[in-house]
Amino acid sequence: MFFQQVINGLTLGCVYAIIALGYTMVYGILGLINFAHGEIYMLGAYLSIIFLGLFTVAGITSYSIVLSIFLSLLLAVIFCSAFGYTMEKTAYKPLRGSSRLSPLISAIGVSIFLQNFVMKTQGATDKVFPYKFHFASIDFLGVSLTSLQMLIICSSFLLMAGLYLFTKFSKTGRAMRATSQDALMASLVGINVDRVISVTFIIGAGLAAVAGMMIASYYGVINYYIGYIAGIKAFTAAVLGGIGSIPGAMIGGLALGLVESLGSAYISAEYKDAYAFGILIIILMIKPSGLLGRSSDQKV
Amino acid sequence: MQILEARGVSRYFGGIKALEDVTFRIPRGTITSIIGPNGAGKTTLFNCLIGITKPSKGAVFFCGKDITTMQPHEICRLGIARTFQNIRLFKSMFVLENVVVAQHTRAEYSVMHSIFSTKKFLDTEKSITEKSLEIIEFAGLHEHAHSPSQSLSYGSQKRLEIARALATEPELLLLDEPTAGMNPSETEDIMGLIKKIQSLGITIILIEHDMKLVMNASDFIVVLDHGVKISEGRPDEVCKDPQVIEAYLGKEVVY
Amino acid sequence: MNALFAAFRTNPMLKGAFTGFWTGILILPFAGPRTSFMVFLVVLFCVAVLAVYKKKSFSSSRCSIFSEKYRYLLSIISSDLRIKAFLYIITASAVLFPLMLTSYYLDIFIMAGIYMLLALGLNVIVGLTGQLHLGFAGSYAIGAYTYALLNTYFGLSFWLCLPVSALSASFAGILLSMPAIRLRGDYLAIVTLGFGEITRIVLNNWDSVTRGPNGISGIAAPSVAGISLSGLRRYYYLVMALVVLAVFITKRVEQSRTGRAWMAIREDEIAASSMGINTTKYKIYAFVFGSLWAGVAGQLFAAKMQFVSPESFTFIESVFILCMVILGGLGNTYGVLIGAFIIAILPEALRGIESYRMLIVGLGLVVMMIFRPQGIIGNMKKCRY
Repeated sequence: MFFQQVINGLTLGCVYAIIALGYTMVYGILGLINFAHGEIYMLGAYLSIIFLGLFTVAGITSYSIVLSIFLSLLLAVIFCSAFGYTMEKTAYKPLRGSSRLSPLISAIGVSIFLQNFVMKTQGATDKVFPYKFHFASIDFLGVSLTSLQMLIICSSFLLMAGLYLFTKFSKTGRAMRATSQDALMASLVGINVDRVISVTFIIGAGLAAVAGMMIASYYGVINYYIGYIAGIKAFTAAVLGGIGSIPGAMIGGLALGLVESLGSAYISAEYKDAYAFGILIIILMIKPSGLLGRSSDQKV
Repeated sequence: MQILEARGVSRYFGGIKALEDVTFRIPRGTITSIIGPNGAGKTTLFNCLIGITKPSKGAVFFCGKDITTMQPHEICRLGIARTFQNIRLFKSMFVLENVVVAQHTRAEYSVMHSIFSTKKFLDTEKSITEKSLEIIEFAGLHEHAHSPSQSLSYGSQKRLEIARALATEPELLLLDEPTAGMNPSETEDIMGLIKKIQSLGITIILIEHDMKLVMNASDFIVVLDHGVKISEGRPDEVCKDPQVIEAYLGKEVVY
Repeated sequence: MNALFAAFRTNPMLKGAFTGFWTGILILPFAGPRTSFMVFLVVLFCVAVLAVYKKKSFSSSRCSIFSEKYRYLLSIISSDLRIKAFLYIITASAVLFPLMLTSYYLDIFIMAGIYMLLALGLNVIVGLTGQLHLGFAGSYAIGAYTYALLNTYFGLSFWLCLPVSALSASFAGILLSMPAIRLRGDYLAIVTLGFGEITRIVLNNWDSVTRGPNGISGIAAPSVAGISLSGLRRYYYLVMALVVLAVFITKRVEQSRTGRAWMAIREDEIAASSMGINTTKYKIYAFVFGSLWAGVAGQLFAAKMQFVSPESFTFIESVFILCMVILGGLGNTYGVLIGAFIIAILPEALRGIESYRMLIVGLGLVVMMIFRPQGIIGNMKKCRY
């Protein structure tokens, strides 16, 4: 029972961690809570279902399931990246340099807009993921690890490792790190800050799309408001690990997933959504810089 | 009789020693300048004196009272006010409002008084407004009293900061680079203002880079370098101190 | 290649076509080909017209007729004396409204009054003190449920409960301000959001007391000297009386040392504390004072509907209240009243396209932030002295 909950929590935590990466990257570079990031994840979940449906109609699914899943994932990632890019260009870029309040409110606006856009076009009812992964599962001492859980956990770790290496070693990654340290200075040494910001949004949105497909296949049903709550939780994960830190987002996501799954098993499942907020508030009161974050003194 | 005493004040940021064992006394009614190369820890020292950052070690005494662990607003209430190196006015407020806000601690009435608009409320408001206008005039800003503080020129904004600090009715005024970025005639004006403030019986500590101003205006000088006090004394003593010359000009190389 | 980009940027038709195409493609998987094509055409048209208009405004000066008119209107309502006259007219007509309106509109106006109270409260926290609060519906809910529970369980009267509701919302405000003291900006926003959500989740799940999602019904309407105020007309006057009281008190507090301390904290916290303002204390005051009006509004809402359920206090409700404050102009007490009124009657204004309401609200928030972050009325502040 306990280990089963740990496995479930880890799976969920991986998804949170991947969404949290998008938050943390944008926050690191722009100092902005991209409130609409959760909606991108929701769009990703919808897109994967929509494309899978299209491919089924087109007959690709009956030809090769793996191919159609892969293709729909790819398309979802492309579309979500485009959404992320557009969002940054229209709603955040004009507000750069204004007060801190404005971009956050603008982000809330985007979030509301996307939610209702999906509700309007796709209907308010639940959407069902058309395909069930039921290959073998590993049973060990009464704990079962399904192939889907394994897939989610493994691919999450691969993605996180990839992102970590990307930011550490690639040229764009270095530019991203430089921009997050000091955007003005970075632009003075020849880094195209606008481009770096766009890339950040694109990568973050692409990751969110992957997370969206994962959750759609894991739970089987989605609706238009999953983005809001998942967004909040992922943000909590990012803050928990120390916002702005990529390894922090991973650890925070896993920790939050575990707490949530163990909490609903042993305390009360009804308050599942309250745990994230509770943890968030406690963390912010005790150590606002998060687990891996560095505290910063305000310059006077 | 000293008004302020720093005893072994140290402040560390991680492994960096911004201040190390700084000790000095400020006699009442004097102008003391704190000088030193950039990054010597002067502003950090100010922040430690008024409680914005707490010293890692050591203690600060104001009129014999330990204020090391006090909050900035408590220290202000005791009678220390400051200006900021990079201007920190209340931007969307008017000049007069900026000064009236600073009279906060000198206008004691409860919320209830303001809701019912009692005589006490009206009298206090009237008197602090008049007081503020006086201070604005004192600082030479009377023409601008009713304009938005952002519309002021750089020099006037610096003056407004001083006026705002004066409005808290301090006994000790800390000025962080009041003449930075000013031309000689503006510097002269500010110097006049500082002398005028001193004549009111207010003790002044000054962070300043303009050596002419420092040497002419100050009674005492404290020299910091790399967070350590390397010299102190009267202006003529300090400028002869070989350590000071070394800190400013580098070591003389003897072949 | 560069010439091509330049053409896309400057030629209105090309720019419109490109933007429209991009939007159309983006929404294609969701909306289907037909809607996407329509959106393509609409965006093309709008962007092209805007671009032409912009180009013209560079070359000729007559284009600014609109903004001139707008400025003139603003100048009419923004001088201090005229504001007062304007206020009297508004108040007088507010008194006469119920005699002219049907009960349908009266209902909307009552809700507008409740929203005005909420907006006034939130304005103290967000507009004056500069602390972004995204969970104001939580305080609203606490006010509503305090009255609902005290009335249905113990039969306490409206007037007895009013201070209790206000105080319990304020008390929640104190609890919330604890973390708020240490946090700035974005973090604070998320914590307040968490507060609102936790309040709703608890109300939703604490079945034994709050009856969960079913809500509490049978809440009594207030009465004065044995006369019930349950009729819409009478209730309208009650709400408006409280709004006037709230405006009066908030305005007085705003113009006192407390209000000045709040504004100083909003402008620069470190400078404020160096000027002798206990920033911790005044932030708590702001949360307490702002939440108080949410408590009053909550009780008025509960007594009006005679029913409460957690559904009425979602995050979206908090966002709506925030929209009122932003629309009216942060920190502008009279402005937020107008903002509250506009948002409250918005569903009516958008009648027929109600299902697009939230889309428009979302878009509106973004557009407001980009083009008029200071609110519709803007800063009409005058030096009072």
